[in-house]
Amino acid sequence: MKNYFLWRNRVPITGAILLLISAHFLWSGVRPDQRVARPRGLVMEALAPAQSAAARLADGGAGIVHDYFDLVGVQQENTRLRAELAREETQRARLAELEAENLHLSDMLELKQALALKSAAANVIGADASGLARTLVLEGGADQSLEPGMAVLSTEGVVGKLIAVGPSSSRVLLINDHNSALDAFDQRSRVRGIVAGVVDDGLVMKYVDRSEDVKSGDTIVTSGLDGIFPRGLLVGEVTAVVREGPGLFLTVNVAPAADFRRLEQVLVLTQRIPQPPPAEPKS
Amino acid sequence: MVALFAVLTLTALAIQTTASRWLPLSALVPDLVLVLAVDLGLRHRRALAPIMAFAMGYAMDSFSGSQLGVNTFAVTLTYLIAYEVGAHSSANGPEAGAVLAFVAVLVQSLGGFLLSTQFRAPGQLEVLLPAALLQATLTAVIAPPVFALTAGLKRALGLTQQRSPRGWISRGA
Repeated sequence: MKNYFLWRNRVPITGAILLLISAHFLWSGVRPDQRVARPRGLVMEALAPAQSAAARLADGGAGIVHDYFDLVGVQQENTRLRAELAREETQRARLAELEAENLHLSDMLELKQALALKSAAANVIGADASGLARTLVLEGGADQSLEPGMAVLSTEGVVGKLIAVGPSSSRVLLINDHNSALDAFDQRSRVRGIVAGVVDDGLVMKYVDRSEDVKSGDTIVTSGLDGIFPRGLLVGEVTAVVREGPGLFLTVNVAPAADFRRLEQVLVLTQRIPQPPPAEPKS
Repeated sequence: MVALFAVLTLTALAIQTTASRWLPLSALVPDLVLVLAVDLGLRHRRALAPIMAFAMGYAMDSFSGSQLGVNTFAVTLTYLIAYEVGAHSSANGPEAGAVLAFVAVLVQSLGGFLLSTQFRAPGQLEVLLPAALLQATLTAVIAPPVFALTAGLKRALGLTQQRSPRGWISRGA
């Protein structure tokens, strides 16, 4: 009788067990390096060629045949030049930040940070499968020495960090995702805070004391203290500061510098940044 | 049947991950994987089906969000609800499937957000709601053609369906 019950209800029982397993994934907070998360790389790998082909078709309209037979040389040159341009732009942004910081009593320490970091260019080949989260799929993975946790930048500013890496593709958690946060500060007033993503695609700077000097139009840059993003990279611009209402902190809305929808190529920093001493910005 | 749903899931994921880059709103991309889970629940009743739903959710998690389990949970739950609806009512046609897909997208979007933020930001739900409603509506609209497509593919591959006392049963799982 008992066996008959089990057999008759085998589908809902199996489903319920699997539901419990998925709930366990959720509550235990599986990290990318754990064994249970590794098959994700295989799934990403299975889909990467299709995504890559679709992205190329959509990007250029030239098609795969065009890419492989007519413009192979030109495209390789183009890719190399784009990567070089991206490096130069990043370097320029960092130098501009260095100049500002020099005005704020920083010299030798900042020179160290001006040292170029190793990076790899990667094409964007996909976006998040749901409308809820903000992630991108990159062409390039462990085969290109990419690892989870590496910083991803564009010529416009900070993009996000790698959260999953397959052999030849990887996923970036954008800074405007609601699960994303990075340490940053106001370039003018040196006020520090945590920049986090919100649901409506924007950013908010959290934990800024009400007495601090933050204004609309201020530039927000990375502090380097999170150990992921080098100091002085452009995050965005303050669009609104709400001082009214309850609470200890200001509500600082920030518009991201990078246009995540138009990203075609990004830079992944393959070299971990040295930790700067916790000095100048006010906490 | 496993191979068919594997191919359909990968195709759905390729469409979802590619299309959302070129549309002005990511909410304009219907959740095809959830539609497939509803189809699986309403018309496929073997013990392998919930495992397939679980695998579909896991594959979705490979391309969505930062936390493993949100989509696995949502897709498996969608399958189970669709299964129970199909088993205990006569409503297992495309219209019922569309309604189920609509509800499933809403539950996945709003519930997934609450779970992934560990209920820390319930105030942001009202910002998320319009986008979730838009995506749920588009998914519901596109669900009947997807059901017709999967039924057509099953027929073409010889995976015929027959009516059982507890709903439709697929052969050849």
